[in-house]
Amino acid sequence: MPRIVRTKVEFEGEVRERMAVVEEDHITPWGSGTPLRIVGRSYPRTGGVEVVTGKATYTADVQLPGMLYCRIMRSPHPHAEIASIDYVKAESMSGVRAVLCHANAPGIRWFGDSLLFDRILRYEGEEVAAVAADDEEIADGALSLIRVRYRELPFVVEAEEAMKPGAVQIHPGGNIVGGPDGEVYRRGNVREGFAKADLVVEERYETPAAVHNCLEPHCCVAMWAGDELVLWDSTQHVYGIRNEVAATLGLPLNKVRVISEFIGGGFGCKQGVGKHEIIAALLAKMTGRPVKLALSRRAENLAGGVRHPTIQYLKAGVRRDGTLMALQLRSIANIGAYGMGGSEVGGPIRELYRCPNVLTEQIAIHTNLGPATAFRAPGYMEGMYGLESMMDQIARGLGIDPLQFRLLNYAEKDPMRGVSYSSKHLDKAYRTGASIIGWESRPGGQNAGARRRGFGMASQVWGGGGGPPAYAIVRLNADGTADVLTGTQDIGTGTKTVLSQIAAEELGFKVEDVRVTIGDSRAGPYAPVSAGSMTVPSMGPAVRAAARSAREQLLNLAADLLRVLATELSVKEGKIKSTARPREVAVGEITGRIGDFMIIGQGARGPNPSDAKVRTFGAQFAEVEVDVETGDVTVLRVAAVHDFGRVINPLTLGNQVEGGIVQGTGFALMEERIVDSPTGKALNANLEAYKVPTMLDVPSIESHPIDLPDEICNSIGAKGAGEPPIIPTAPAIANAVFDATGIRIRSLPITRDKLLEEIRRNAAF
Amino acid sequence: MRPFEHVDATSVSDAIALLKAEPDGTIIAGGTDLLDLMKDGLASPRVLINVKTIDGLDRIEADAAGHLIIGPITTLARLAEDARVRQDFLLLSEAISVTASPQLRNMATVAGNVCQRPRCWYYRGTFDCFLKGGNSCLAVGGRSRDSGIFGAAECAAVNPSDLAPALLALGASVVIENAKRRREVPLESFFTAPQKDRPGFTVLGRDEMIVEVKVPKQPVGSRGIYLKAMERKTWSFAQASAAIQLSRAEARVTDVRIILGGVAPVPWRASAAEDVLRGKVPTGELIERVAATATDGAHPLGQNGYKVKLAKALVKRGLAMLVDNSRS
Ligand SMILES: Cc1cc2nc3c(=O)[nH]c(=O)nc-3n(C[C@H](O)[C@H](O)[C@H](O)COP(=O)(O)OP(=O)(O)OC[C@H]3O[C@@H](n4cnc5c(N)ncnc54)[C@H](O)[C@@H]3O)c2cc1C
Ligand code: SF4
Repeated sequence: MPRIVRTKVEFEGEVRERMAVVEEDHITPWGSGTPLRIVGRSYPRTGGVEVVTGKATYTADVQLPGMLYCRIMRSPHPHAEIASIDYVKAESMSGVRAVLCHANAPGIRWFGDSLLFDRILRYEGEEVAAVAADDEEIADGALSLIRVRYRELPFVVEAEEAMKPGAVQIHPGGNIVGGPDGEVYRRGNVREGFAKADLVVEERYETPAAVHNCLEPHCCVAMWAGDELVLWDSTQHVYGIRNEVAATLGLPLNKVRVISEFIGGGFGCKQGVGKHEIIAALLAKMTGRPVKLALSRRAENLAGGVRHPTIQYLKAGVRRDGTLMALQLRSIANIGAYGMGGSEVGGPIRELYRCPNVLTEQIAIHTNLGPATAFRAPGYMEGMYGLESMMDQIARGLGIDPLQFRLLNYAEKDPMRGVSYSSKHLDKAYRTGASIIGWESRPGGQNAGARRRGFGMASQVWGGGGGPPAYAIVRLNADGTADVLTGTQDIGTGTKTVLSQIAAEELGFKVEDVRVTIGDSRAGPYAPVSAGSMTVPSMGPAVRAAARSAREQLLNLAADLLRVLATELSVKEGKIKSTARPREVAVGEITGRIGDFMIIGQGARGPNPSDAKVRTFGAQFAEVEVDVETGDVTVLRVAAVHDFGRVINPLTLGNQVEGGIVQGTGFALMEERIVDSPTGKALNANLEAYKVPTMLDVPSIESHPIDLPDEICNSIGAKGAGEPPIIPTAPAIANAVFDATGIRIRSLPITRDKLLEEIRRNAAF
Repeated sequence: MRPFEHVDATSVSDAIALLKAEPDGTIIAGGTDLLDLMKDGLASPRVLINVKTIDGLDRIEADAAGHLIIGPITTLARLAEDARVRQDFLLLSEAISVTASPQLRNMATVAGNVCQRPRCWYYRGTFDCFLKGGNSCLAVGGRSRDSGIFGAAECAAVNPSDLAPALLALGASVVIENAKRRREVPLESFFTAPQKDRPGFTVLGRDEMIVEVKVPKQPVGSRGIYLKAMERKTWSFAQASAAIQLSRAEARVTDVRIILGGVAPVPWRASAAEDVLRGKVPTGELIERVAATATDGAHPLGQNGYKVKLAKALVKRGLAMLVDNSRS
């Protein structure tokens, strides 16, 4: 019987209480003693061959008869009002089928106080007009025929400028989101804590605007079939897009279908609906033709979302013996014109260490820049850089080994609420990482010569517990194969592979006999957004529950047919065994007997534990070489030891760890959107000037996940691994650079110009 | 992008005639720079004159005197792999090995490379800077991390080529043809600071074509090295580079050329530094002095002061490696 429960679900640092409809009977979690045949083993990625041979159908590969192509004209100014717009010439150009702009578009609300096509443009790259034409060249040509007169407005792009009284107002409510101190968290009394400290350190850190730059830009194809909308979309949430598009266009939920089979990365910027999906749907309606809309690389850089830059004022007080007494953070996030608020930059400060007195103020500021969106471990990655740089500095100041210092302040229980963790093996991660990198035997810091080696480390904490709602269906076919259906999506992480393993394990089938269908809101039931490291810990238990239900039905049927008790039966490798009889029966023999009568198992994700905090933890250790003459930084090795609970598939998990470290290395050393303050325009909105790491920049990575099931968090014992690996990389590298040189760069990325400038100023060289 | 016509030239004279007949015509070789310029609205030719269809323009050969003759449409990849080049002009292979990416090197040609336009992000972006007819250089008071530290007049952009400093260090010249004549121009006087009406970095007239690059034979035992510093390990333009060709007799330096890339509108010859070294025995101390002299007269802007230290370090390291190498 379905029942309704309240449960807490954590998403990117924020805890929300949800009502959950639960159909599942309690399923005993796979524990450390449970013998598993398929879960825990490496299987190559389902669809991997299609991806690397170019056969996979990404959204941009969707070709429909009569399809039109849409291109978007974007604001050349950081802040302007459209005085007039003349698109008659564009509209009458041969091959042009429709033009949309504020003059003729429906007044759809967007970003709170703005419109889908607004007269006021608040950042360089904001949508001015859209053209649907027979091909992209015609559409581009038409854009150049649209005459817009802009009235330029004063603008502001620096967060601390935008906070000043009298600064240019971007929204009627002012530039500061919420109160002047932003979102405040307090425990204990930091003033008293600092008073009791022997050493108090205050520093300012900065992190850059990093652009997701997914290999596949935002892209969709909209097609109307009668009054129903079919949307192929590169998205992290097919159901979310369905819901938001239906609400925006006033359609019933069952008349919108969203399909997303292969996705070339999301990293947070494809979580929710963007203007492009609505524009494509509107143009498709106007023209009666399917419309494809793909963002250009430049548009992706200007308008596709960005990790908000932060300024962090961090203060820490510590006793001589290494006890942390107080931590205080004031973070300022530059969320651009339409960012929906800042992320949890204070998260690591609040929850990583056992510290009695903590104050965090997270301030989010609007400026005339592109909208900030979530980006892999939003907030925590930025905050961890400040915190772990500070911890390194303090430990050294006290003459305590940085790793020892962390163990001294280790939090056995959640410092925020005092509750136990569902599981925590950070201490083990520290020890394992230290032994892989050779922490104890590392040469002590700044050696002489031009090329200097250094070691650094940093910790990771993050959610990743997932939660309801999440549903799956498992259907058994007459030949003994199974179909798993769910409305989740694979944003490039291997979701399909992992879900097929979980289903096969629970069913007792061979993994190749299980096919997983995802990425279609009409084919599978609701599944959560693939963000917040939610997918595996939410979908895994749902799939397991559905598979369990199907297996039970199968065994009941088999018991009837074989005239034995169902409790005597089990399934293994696609064969049904009985403890009473020696003969094995293939599943297909049983299902074949009922022909097209179908066994259908349903499963739902159960509630989260109410009395335990579910977190992922980890530590990374970096070894770098810094050439103090040329300013070259080479990351030689990174040892990554994370605790994600049970590992379902070591191969796909390893990919996540490696990818996180690659992106983290980029964040540490090179990635940064650069804006020209006097003009308010981006200088490097392309992949030539915006640097992402190449293969040669990638260190040798040794990943050793802890791999102990969390028997409290959910029925599969696994937590999410998408975001954690990116969190500690930058501070570990920054600390290693300090170890090598004695120079601490407090503003990421650590580029050659900053390093050489510091070296020049530093008499020691 | 403006619609254009694409014409395959059949001979050098055909190409030059087309250039002359079509004032809006431009030579296209690998197209790796030109197409980007066209897409970004920085070039809008009406006719593209393809010179890759001309026979014999991709030769790599030695003339009677042992000078290396490189056809203009020779790709960077082929030049770098050529056995003669690897034997006698290794500096070229070294410079090419750190140029762009393998895909680009397969398309990019020698003449195209020395004719490429500035990478300054104001120039490549949607800004009205001096070079695009605006009033002033926006980099000077703005984001000048990549700008030059030497020789800037109105425009602080640097010559982005890696091949050019290497060719200069070898004393190379280009052979240029127009409808009337053929002339040989030493690369040292081929490059100029970019100007409003001439955003390239060269003296090439718009109806002229590079038909050959000539690299003189180097003295026996002469060695070169190319060191390049980038924002990441590969596939990046130089923040600074040093191309050095060193000849010695006994221990003494008989000749040396030190060319810096990424620091000036032209490949920057550090003549004063060469003078310090020429005729001397290169000791560690002397090398330090040469390196310091190499950046004499630098005028860094707000954000590119690091290039002074960097260029110095590259010269010092390059020389030290050359000296070390020839010892062993
Ligand atoms: C992402 C990226 C990274 C890069 N990184 C580097 C780098 O690290 N180092 C580096 O040196 N370069 C780099 N480049 C530049 C690249 O090397 C040049 O684009 C290439 O060498 C140009 O050669 P091409 O044959 O493609 O020239 P084209 O693009 O065809 O032409 C360039 C110009 O040369 C002219 N031209 C070509 N041939 C002749 C001729 N025979 N006579 C007269 N004029 C001629 C054309 O008219 C045009 O103006 C990079 C480019 C890109 C896109
Ligand atoms: S350096 Fe040259 S190209 Fe760059 S902004 Fe200045 S004038 Fe323009």
